[in-house]
Amino acid sequence: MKQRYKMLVAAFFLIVSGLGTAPLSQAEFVLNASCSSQISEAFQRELLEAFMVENGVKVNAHVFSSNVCLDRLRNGFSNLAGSTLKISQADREAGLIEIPVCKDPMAVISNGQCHVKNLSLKQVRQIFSGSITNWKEVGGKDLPIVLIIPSVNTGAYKNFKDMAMGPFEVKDDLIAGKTFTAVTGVKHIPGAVSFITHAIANQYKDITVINVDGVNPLDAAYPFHQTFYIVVKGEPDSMMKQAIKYMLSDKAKERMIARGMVPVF
Amino acid sequence: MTPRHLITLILFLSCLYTSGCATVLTTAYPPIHETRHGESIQGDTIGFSYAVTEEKNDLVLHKQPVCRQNIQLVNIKRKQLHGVIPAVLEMPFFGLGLLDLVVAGVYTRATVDEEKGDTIPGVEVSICGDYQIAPGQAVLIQYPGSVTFKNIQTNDVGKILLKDILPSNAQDRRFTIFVKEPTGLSYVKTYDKTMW
Repeated sequence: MKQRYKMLVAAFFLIVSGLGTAPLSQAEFVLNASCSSQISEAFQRELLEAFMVENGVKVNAHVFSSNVCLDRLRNGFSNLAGSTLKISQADREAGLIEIPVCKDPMAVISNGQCHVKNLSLKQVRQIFSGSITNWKEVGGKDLPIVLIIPSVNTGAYKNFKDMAMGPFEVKDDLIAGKTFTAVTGVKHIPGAVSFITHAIANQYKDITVINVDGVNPLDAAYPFHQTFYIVVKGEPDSMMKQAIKYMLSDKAKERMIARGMVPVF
Repeated sequence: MTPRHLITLILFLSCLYTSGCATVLTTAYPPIHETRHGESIQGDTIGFSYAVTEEKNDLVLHKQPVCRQNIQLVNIKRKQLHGVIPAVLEMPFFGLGLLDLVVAGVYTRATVDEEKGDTIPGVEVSICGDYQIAPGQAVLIQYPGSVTFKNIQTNDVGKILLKDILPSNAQDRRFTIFVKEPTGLSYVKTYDKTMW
């Protein structure tokens, strides 16, 4: 009797499961993208969402430092990377293809309490190498300088070091794991100074963007500019070509210009 | 007939009479309306897909029209299975609930009515024409590792002359080709090698 009962119950579940209509599965186009935190914050998902809406392609975007994004691309965890780092010759030989998209100034930013609006290039180097330790030495408030530096894995660190520091090393008091978190630190810590792409700095009203040698970051003569790249591995497939085409489209360029960036093409 | 047989018969007939809840409820409920994606239909041309081939020491740009795949929507009207719980309760009575569910299930499948609906633009694009050369096409050549680029045009047989984009003694073929379209740039190919 017990055996018969079990068979009845099993048969019931088999029949009921077969009676329901199984939902049709749709093949979904999904793009796995790893994006530098500077690029992600600079565009604030605007381009990404516009691309998804206009093309119907779902994008899984993961935000990391540029180095990690390129690593993920190399190892097949993503099929497209947004990076502020140029790829190496070894990467090129391994089949990575880098497409420059736009340029953005690298801004030196400070906490609002520092009261310094301009620094010479020499002073920038002295501050970030630790030679100058108080804002009063550069005409600001009597406040110790707190260096908040993006991690060495980030494009911001490497680009700033290459463009601004010359032979000097970058010192740090605090390290920001992702570049845009440096802005949060600068915003809240008195005396803090850091560097970040201008499109992000521009979103915050309570930090100071410092001119270098009297030149505003939005001026063409400003000495520090980063390039934002799309990087793919191997010949892009049709979905990636759509993504690249979108990033190089006139619509995307308008959005870049609105944020103070300069399209490369 | 003994009293025992009579009672069994009455019980059996009662079960038979009261079973069929799932079937009755399924037929009584109004049908539900659903929409699913049907077949893909080729839509209008939305642009071109570009490719380059090598001819002697030059490149030839080709293009193929690309169409968006539209999706045919299918409107479905069908009965949905109801009364599963009463059918389960009927199970101990000679397994009648099982029969009830089978009948109800067969009924839901038999009443499916499909009708073609609107077409919507799909995500997929596909090639929808033959290769043709692309004469007079505006092309942008970008050099890897730099943000410098060169604007050129394919000649009347769709060729990109290497002498226009590389120095005469160049051993390396390192450049990326983009086609300039009305809405922006379209990536074509990257060459990154020392010799052909």
